[in-house]
Amino acid sequence: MPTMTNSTQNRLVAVAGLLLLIFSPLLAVSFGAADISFNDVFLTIYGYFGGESEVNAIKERIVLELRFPRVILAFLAGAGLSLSGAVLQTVTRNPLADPYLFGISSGASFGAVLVIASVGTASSMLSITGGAFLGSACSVLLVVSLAGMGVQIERMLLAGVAVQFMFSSGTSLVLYLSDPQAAASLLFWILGSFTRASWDNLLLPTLITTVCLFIFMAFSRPLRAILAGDENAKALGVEVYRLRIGMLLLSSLLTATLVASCGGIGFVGLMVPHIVRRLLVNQSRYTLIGSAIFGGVFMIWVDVLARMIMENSELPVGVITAAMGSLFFLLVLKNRSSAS
Amino acid sequence: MRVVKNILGLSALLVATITFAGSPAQRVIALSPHAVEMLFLLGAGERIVATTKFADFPEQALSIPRIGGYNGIQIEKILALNPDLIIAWEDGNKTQDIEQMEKLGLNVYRSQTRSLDQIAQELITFGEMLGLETKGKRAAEQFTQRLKRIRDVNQNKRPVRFFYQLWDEPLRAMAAGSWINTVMESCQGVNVFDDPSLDYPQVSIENVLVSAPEAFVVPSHHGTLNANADRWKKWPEIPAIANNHIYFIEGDLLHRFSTRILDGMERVCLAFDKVRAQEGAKRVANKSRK
Amino acid sequence: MPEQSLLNVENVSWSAGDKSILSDISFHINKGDFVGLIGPNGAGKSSLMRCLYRVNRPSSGCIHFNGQNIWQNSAKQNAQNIAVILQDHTEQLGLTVSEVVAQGLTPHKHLFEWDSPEDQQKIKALIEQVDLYELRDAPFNQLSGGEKQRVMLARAMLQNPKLLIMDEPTNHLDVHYQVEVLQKVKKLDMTVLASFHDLNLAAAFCDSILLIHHGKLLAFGKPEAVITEQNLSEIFNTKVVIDRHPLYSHPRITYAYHD
Repeated sequence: MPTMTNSTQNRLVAVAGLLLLIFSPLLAVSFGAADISFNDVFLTIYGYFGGESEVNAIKERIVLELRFPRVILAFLAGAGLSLSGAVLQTVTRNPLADPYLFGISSGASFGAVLVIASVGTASSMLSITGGAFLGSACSVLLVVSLAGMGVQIERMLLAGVAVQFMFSSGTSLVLYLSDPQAAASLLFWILGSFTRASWDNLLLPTLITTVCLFIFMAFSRPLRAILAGDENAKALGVEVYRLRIGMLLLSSLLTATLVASCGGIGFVGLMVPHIVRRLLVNQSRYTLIGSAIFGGVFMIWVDVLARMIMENSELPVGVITAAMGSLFFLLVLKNRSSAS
Repeated sequence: MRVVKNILGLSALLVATITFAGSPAQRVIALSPHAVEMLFLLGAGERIVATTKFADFPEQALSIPRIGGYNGIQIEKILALNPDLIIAWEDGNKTQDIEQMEKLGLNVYRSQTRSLDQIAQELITFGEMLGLETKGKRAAEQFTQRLKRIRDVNQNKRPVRFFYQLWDEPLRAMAAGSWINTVMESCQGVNVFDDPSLDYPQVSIENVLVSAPEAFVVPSHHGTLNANADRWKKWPEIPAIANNHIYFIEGDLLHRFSTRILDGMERVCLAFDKVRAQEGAKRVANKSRK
Repeated sequence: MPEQSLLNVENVSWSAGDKSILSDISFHINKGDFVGLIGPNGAGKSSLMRCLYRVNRPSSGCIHFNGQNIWQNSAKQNAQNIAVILQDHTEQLGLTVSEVVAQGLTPHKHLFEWDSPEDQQKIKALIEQVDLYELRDAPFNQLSGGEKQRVMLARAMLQNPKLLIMDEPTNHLDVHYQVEVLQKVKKLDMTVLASFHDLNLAAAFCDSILLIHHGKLLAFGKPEAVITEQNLSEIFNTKVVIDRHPLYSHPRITYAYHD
C-alpha cells in the first residue's frame, strides 16, 4: 500500500478532527443507563429550540440536565488536560511532562482530604473543592520556589516529583489518622468522574479552559522557539524565564480548575500531545489546537465507555485512562525498540 | 450397673468438656466494634483489655484502651498486654496482622461476617471461649427468635423497591452482592441494584432514575447525615423523591455485625411499611373517587 | 566614539559567580564589517558574545547598538537587530527544517500573527538559497553538522538582523562547507561578528580581528596588525611563521609542528 504524503495525511486528520468535534457530543449524549436513542436526542434539541417534540419528559430531562452537561464537562477536561500537557511538554522540552508534573493532582487530593478529615462527612462539596484548589495552588507555589530563580528545567522536574511524593504521603497520613469514610471520598479525587456535571458548575471550567486556550495559542510562536533551546530562544527575542513561569502557572490554573471539577484524571495530558504529533506530521503549529480538539473528543468517548461498560453502574474515568495509558506506552516502547 | 455407666459417662463428658473447652478466656482483645458489643452483651465486657478505634457501643466501651484501627494494629502492644484470646475480624483486620499474631503463637479466633445467621453462631462460640456457654446460647436463641419473628411478620408483605445510598460523593450504592442486602430482604425489600456480583458499585443519578426506586435508605455515618438532599429534590420523577420516602437510619445499626442489626432491620421494615401504607391509602382514595 | 559604529562595547566586565571572566573590554564594530574574534579556549570568546545577545549581563560597562543601550530595549527589539548562530544545536523536539527556519520570524511577529503567504515564500526561497530544498520537510535532527549550520544560516537570514553573531561557525564542518558558509555570509548585506578557532580562516575573511586572552582584549585591528608572530607565540604558546597568502593579500599563518 503506498504511503500517503504528509500533506494528504494532515488534511485527512484535520477533516476527521472536525467531523468528530461536531458529531461526537451529539452521538455521545445518546449513550447511558436510560434507553435513549439518537433520534430522541435530536428531537429533544429540536424541542428545546421551540419545535414540536414527542419525547417523553423524563428522557428530555435526562438528556438536557444530566447528559449534555456531562459530555461538555468531559470535553473540557479532555481538551484542557491535553492542552496543558502539550504546553508543559513544549516549555520544559520534555516529552514526559504532564499536567500533574507539579504535584497538582496530589496537592488537590491532599487539600480535599484535609477538609473532609477536619470538617467531617458533613463538609459541603464547595468547601472540599475549595480545599482541593488551595492544595493544588500550594503545590505549584512550592515547585516554583524550589526550582529557584532560574527556573531551570531539571530543577523544576525534580521539584515537581518531590512535591508530588510529599503530598501523597501527606494524604496517606491524614487518611490513616481519620475516619475511613474519608477514604471513600478520596477515590473521587484520585480516579475522577464526570457524574457531578450540571449546568451550574460548568461555568468556571468553560471560562478558564477557553481563556487558557486563547492565551496558549497567542504564545504558540514563542513557545515553539523555546523548543530550540533556551539560549536560542533568547536570541530570537523570547523572554524565556518569564514565559516559562507564566505558562507553568497558567497550565496549573487550568489543571487545578479541572481537578477541582472532575477529580484527577491521569495520562490524558501525557498521551494526547504525543498522538497528535504523530498524526499531524510536521505541523508543530497545530499541536496545541490539535491536542485540545483530539483530547476533548477522546475524553467524551472515554466517558461513554465509563458509563456503558457495566450494566447499571459506573467505572471511574481515571481507571480507563490509566489502562489506556499503559497500553500506549507499551506501544511506544515497542516502536522504539523495533525502530532501533 | 446403670449407676456405674452413668457415672462413667458423666466423667467422660466432664473430661471431654474440660479438654476441649480449655480454661475460659479472661484477658480478651477484641479487634472489631461488633465483637466488643457482643462481649458486653454476654456480660464479659470487663474482660476486654484492648480494642480498636470505633468500638463505641455500649458507652463503657469508650474507656477501653485502643491499639489500632482500620489501618493496622499495634502487635507489640498486644503482646505486652498478654491476652489469652484475640478475637480478630477477617474482613476488617489486615490479613498480615492476623497471620503474624497466629505465627507468634497467640490464641487467635477469626470472626467471620458473611451472613446474618452467623451472628447467632458467633454468640455461641464466644460463650464457649469465655466459659459463658449458657449466656451465649441464650443470647443466640434470643437473636434467632427475634430474627425469625421479624421475617415471619414481613414474609407476605408486598416487596418494596429501594435504593441504598451508601455514599454521596462519589455516589455509591449498596447492591445485591453485599451482606447488608439480606437485612433489607428480611423486610421484603428489593434492591434496585440487583446484580449479585456487585457489592458497592459507583453509580450515577441516571442509574438511579432509570431504576425508579420507591424508597431511599440512607445510612448516617457516626451521627452526621450525608444525604446531599438538594441534588435529589430536582428529580421528582423518582417515586421515592416525589413521595418523600427518604429514610435516614443510623449506619452502625445496618453495617455492624452485632445483635443491634435487628434494631436496624426493624427500622427498615418500619420505613417500608410506611411506603406500603401510602400506596394503600392512594389506592383507597382512587377507589373511593370512582 | 564615531557616530557610524553599529555596535559599541565600553568597559564591559563580567563574572561568573566569584570568578572574573571578562575585564574591561572596549571595542566598536562599524556597519558592514566582518569582525573575527580569536583567542585560546577559555579566553572568554563565547562569554563576550553572550553579553552581546543578552544572555550574560555585564557587571560593569555598557553596550550600545545603533546608539541605544541594549538593556533598555526589549528582548524582542534586540532580536530584530541581532541574530545568533550558535555552536550546539539543541535537540529540536521533532521540528522539520522548514519549521526551524520559520523560527526566524519570531522577533518580528505579534502574539496572534500567523505566517502570511509572503512569509511562506520567503522561507522557501531561503531554504533554496542554502541548497536544502529537498530536505525542507526532513526532521532537523537527522541532518549532518554542515546541513544544520546551513539551516541556521537560512533562519538567521529570515530574521534579517543588522548584526549577525556566529559562535565558532566552522567547527563541525568539512573544509568545503567551511569556505562555503563563510563565503555566503560575507556576501550578505550584514555586519558580522564571528569567533574562530582556525586563524587562517579568520585572516582570510575578516575585515578586523579582536584578540582576547584571559578575558582581556589584547588587540583589535586589521588582520595584519593583530595576527603577528609575537602575539600568536605569546598567546597560543606555539611557534608560527606569518607571511602573505600566495593567492590573496591577507596574512597566512604557518605552524611549526616539529621541534
